[in-house]
Amino acid sequence: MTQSDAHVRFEMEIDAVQAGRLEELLERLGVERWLVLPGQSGRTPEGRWNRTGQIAPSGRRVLVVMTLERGLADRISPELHDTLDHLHGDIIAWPVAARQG
Amino acid sequence: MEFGSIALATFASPPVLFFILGLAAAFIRSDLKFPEAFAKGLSLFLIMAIGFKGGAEMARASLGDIVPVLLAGIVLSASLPVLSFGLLRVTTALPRVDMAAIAAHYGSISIVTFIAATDAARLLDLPGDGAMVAVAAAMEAPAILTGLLLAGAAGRTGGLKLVEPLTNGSIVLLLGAFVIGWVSGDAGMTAVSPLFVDAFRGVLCLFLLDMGLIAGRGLVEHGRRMKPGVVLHGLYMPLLSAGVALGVAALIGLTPGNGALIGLTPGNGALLMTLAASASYIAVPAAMRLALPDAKPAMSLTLSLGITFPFNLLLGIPLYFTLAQLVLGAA
Repeated sequence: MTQSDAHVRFEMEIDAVQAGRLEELLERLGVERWLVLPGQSGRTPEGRWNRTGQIAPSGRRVLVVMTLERGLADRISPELHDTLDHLHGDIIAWPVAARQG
Repeated sequence: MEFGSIALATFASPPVLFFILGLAAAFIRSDLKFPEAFAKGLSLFLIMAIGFKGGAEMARASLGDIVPVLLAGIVLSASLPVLSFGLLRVTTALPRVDMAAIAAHYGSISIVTFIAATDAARLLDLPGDGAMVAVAAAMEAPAILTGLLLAGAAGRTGGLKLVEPLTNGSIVLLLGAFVIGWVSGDAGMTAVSPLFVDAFRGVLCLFLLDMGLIAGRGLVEHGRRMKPGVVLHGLYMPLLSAGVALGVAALIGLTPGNGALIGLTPGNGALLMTLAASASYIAVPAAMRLALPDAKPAMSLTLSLGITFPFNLLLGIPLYFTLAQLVLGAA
């Protein structure tokens, strides 16, 4: 088990239908662990949505979270931001003290 | 049969009444809902049953008979978005990308509307042929390509592989069950008919209740934000598309050498009209979200699922059967 302050936590909110493309990108960028969390309901500028009111994933959003070492985070951050911008996703990142097993 | 009696027969059928119950429950904001996995299971059952039955019926027919209607379906799917796009341009001030996305929805098909129409066909004793299932599958994807061309996104598909609509789960299951039904023929049909035939209408009731809830909730949440020109598009577009399809069906029926299986029967004509009139709300929204991320899915989904789907179910299908009987029944 390692412990370090030099980690960066990412949260990326994205359309469910785009999640596969984001995961492909993460894999290509050398990220080895992330988690995709399903959204139950929410609101975007286009209005409220929920899972039970949708039969296609096009209106749903998911949250992709990951904690990376700072070096990797700095290296992939520009491409990640560009991609999220292109896919109309939101991304936030902040430094954390992480403990990863 | 006249429109009134056809409309009454379909309107008073349990599946349509359950759909109305779902709409009503959504409008009064009832907490009635189906577990997501159960609803998904229902749709898989219906798609499998309709594919299998279509394949089993196809086993009695010849492949050559289907080709003219298959081609007609592909041409309709590829060309109807152009009509939809043109009308949206004249009647609305939507951004080009939204018009193109909506147009793609109207060229593609709704398999649930098709299933409801086959049920109505059986009820009205105007059955279509099993081969129409293959036509339904073929009409899913061409509209997406046209939609991308209309958006000016040709060659820039946003990562969408154009084969993706064909790998969509519904289409894979529909075509797979069709082939299995075709291979196993009448003997296979007899073996599975307690599940795929006897239980079909009951499951359709459950599924349409859920669809009513979904369509109603979409309307409640997004309906007020939609401009009248866009809402009207969801009502007149299916009628225009059905009209074009009726013309095509009549034309195919007159083609010399074409067998009597396809094109001449009012049942097949009405099914082709229904396919043309229906708007996709499963495969195309997902494809458009990938290929045209700037398009607003809430608007096109609400239009196709909240407006056009109920319209087709309650009024369109009886109307298409009436017209097909009038035009093709006399042929």
